[in-house]
Amino acid sequence: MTTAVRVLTPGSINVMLLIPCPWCGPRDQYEFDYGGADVQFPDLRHSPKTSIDDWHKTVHLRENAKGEVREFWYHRSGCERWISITRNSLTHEFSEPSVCDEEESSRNRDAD
Amino acid sequence: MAHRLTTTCEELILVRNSRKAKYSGFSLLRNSLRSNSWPNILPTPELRSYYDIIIVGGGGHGLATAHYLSSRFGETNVAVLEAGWLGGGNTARNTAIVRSDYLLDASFELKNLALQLWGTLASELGFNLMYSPRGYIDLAHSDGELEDFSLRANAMCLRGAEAKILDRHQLRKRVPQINLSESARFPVVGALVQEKGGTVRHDAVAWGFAKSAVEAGVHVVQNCPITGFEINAGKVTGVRTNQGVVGCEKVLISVAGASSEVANLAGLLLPIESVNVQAFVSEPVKPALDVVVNYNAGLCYISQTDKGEFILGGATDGYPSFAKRGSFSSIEEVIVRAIQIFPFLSGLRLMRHWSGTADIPMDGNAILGSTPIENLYLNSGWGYSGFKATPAVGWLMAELLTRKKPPDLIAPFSLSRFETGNLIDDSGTGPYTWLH
Repeated sequence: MTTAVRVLTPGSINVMLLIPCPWCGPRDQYEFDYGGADVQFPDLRHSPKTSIDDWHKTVHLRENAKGEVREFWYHRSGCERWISITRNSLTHEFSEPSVCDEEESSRNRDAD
Repeated sequence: MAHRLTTTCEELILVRNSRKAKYSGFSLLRNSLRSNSWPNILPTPELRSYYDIIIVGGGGHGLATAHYLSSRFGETNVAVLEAGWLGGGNTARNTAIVRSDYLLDASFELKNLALQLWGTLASELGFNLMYSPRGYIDLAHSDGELEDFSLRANAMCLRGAEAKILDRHQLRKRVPQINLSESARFPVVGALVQEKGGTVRHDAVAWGFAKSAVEAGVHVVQNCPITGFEINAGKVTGVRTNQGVVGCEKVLISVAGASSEVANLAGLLLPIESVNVQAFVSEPVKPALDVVVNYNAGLCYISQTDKGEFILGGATDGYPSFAKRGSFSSIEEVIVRAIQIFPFLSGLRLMRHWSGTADIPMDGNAILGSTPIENLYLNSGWGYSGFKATPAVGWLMAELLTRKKPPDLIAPFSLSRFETGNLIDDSGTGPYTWLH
């Protein structure tokens, strides 16, 4: 279940992105860098099992959905954290963001 | 049966009428003296149950393909199915610039063939495309960048195109309006100029190709979105439309920003993301600029239309979007750059701005050729550089659709290059569509 974050805009059109950062609240698009689609990369720890085809799918092929897309943004001029967020590519409406699980990824690094 | 016969008669009359659409100074005079006499150049045909070739997408590229199929390859049992109206997508949303200043062989050859075709296309089509080879000027902002431009200019000259490097003094003579101040935020140190580059009236391109194709018997159907493909044993045998199923031997997808959406109907995932790109025009003023100028500290390309408006474009909005409306941040960035080059522009008002959906592949270059589904072909991934290539793409896709082997010029642009690693990344950006 997601809650749409409404943005105050003329004529109910989202003309400018107001990105709901989970740490800083809604902030202007100027503060962010777009970081690409939130795709699951093949697990490097099991690299012998990862085929060229897996990499091709992950690096190149995209749903490119006209609707809800899951993507990364980097809050460059704010908390300097990466966030993962759901945005509607047709209406530019955001759903509530989830935070990138930094603890999880650092645990994975330690395990290696 | 009788209904069918009537329709055919109507079609014949319409086709005969459309043959009358010859434009000249004399016809302008004659038709201005008579009322209601301009022939309808685009009749509304009834869909046949079968075509040899169906082209999905009635933009410049799809219509050019239909024109060359009928005029060069004798293929007239062709339908162009357009979901909206003719040339209503990126064909009429670009900034109408044509040029061929590319470094990599594959990119250059395709655009340079197009540039040669633009020169004679208006007389071939009998339609005024207003090709204006006014010169294209690419500004360099550092010595390193100018070195890079010299490499590109030399590569162009070696392959038979014309290109020159201008230093600041020569640039001042060529474009006196440019701000060459040393104290500018990003001072201009020189430029690459391609004199054959310029502008072409973009909606006339769609209409000119459509007129020629329709005269040869091609069906151009507007308001006809496709809803699916008929695929049997890995081979396409028809398309489903809002007007019923139409059988065919071959299908070409030529739908720019909707490439992923349409390919998805055939179960294909493409290495493409669709990004918003904006363009703007100022209020019209008297002639003040007779070249196309491109600013490279960021991106901003400027020319003045025949009506006197300054037309400006910039980079993408920077994230995937199908909204067809732009962010304010891009408007501000483009305007700031435009005023850096031509400070006098700050006195003008913006009249309109619009945007289009650019289909950008992972290496920033077009995807042309066959797909894993037999007889289903793809012309996509042109991002925001497709307009300049229109006639060359039309010709080469027509050749591809009538011969088994892809023409040499489009072979490097295959969909399979992403699996094999033979990417054509002109800017060296990597798999980041929004940065290309």
